[in-house]
Amino acid sequence: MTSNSITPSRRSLLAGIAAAATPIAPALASAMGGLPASPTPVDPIFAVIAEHRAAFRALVDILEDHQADPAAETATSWGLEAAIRAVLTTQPTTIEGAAALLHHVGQHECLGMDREYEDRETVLTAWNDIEDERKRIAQDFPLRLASTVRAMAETATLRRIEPSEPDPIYAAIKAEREAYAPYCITKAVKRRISDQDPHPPRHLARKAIAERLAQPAHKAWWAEYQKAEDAHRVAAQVYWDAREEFLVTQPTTVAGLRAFVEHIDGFTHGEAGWDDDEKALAFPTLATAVRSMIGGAQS
Amino acid sequence: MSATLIRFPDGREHFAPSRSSNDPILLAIAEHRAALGAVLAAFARVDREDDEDEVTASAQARRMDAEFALFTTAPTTIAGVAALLAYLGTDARDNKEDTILEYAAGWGDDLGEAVRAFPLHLAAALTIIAAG
Repeated sequence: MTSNSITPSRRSLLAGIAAAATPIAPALASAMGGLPASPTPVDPIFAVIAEHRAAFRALVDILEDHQADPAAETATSWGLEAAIRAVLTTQPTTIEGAAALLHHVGQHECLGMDREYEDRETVLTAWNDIEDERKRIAQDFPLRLASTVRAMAETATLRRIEPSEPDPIYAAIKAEREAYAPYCITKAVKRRISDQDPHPPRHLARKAIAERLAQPAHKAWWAEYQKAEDAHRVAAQVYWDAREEFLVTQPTTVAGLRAFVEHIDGFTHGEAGWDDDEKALAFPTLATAVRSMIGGAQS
Repeated sequence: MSATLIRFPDGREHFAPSRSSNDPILLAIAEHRAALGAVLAAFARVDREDDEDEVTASAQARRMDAEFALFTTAPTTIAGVAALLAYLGTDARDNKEDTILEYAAGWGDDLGEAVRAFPLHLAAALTIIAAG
């Protein structure tokens, strides 16, 4: 905590004090729909609000105890200031926490705990006129909370658009990966056999070609080569079909979208790359998938 | 939360938060932004006489109406709550000193009360949105 030069008189202490608010009705927390609500209050903001309330009560008790040690009074006031800082800077993790926080900072800064203090400021506005870093903390409160609430809304949207069915993109990725190995193996076999031609062509004279084709060793090699080529043709067809299928398969989840992009844009050892033409083919698929997801979230 | 697909002339597409939302707080924010701009423009005029001249007074009156609406209109969407909070945290006078919330808190009477009560009002709106 940052120390300051404030003399802890009753007025100066209370000038920085905010109210201890009643937490928002627990019943409200039970009807939070698809928003990130929690059935049990695990949101840290509730503890922060409670701590603020306790710190305020502790200061009021000390102020009312005329025998209190001034050092204890100072320590308590600083504890209260730290509690207010926590209220104004801790971000809620649930919508009900955000509502509770707003409800809390909208309370009169003393909430009736100090009847002598009649200033009309709230927890949120009490630091407006203090010319130090506390002013900035209070000024930035709405922006911080806006970011948090916006993130909660986005998370809720993403949750709503996650379907219960498995995302088909994972099967498409798996099929493409699995088809790649046979494609590579058959291609290597074909190349190896090609390199083993007992009578490789050296010139294009018709007679020489005819003699070469008539050799029994060549006929045996040619049969083996044709077999390898057929196997590779089948493997290649399966592989290209799998690649095409991947490029037109629309992910149905946000995680699936990410998997799609990482599969086509990242490089993994043992996988084939994707050229720019293929990536261009992927774009309409991704655009349609995103449009469908957002459309689903809106309905 | 909703989004709109924006198509650029060159064919590019971009998803942006929907501007067609019916949340009344978005209109209140837009009106306040415009009213605030009119006040700043009124003060920046070369031929400005004083705070009582017609243009300045008219702009100030519009701004006060817009400010009251800003702090009393209940958002009906989470995006509206976030937009309101973000707007209230922005600079009120282009001087990096006061936010819109802080500046408005200095008013007296009904407007000042509305400003101080706005977190309660926003908490209630948020709770209704979440429940609905």
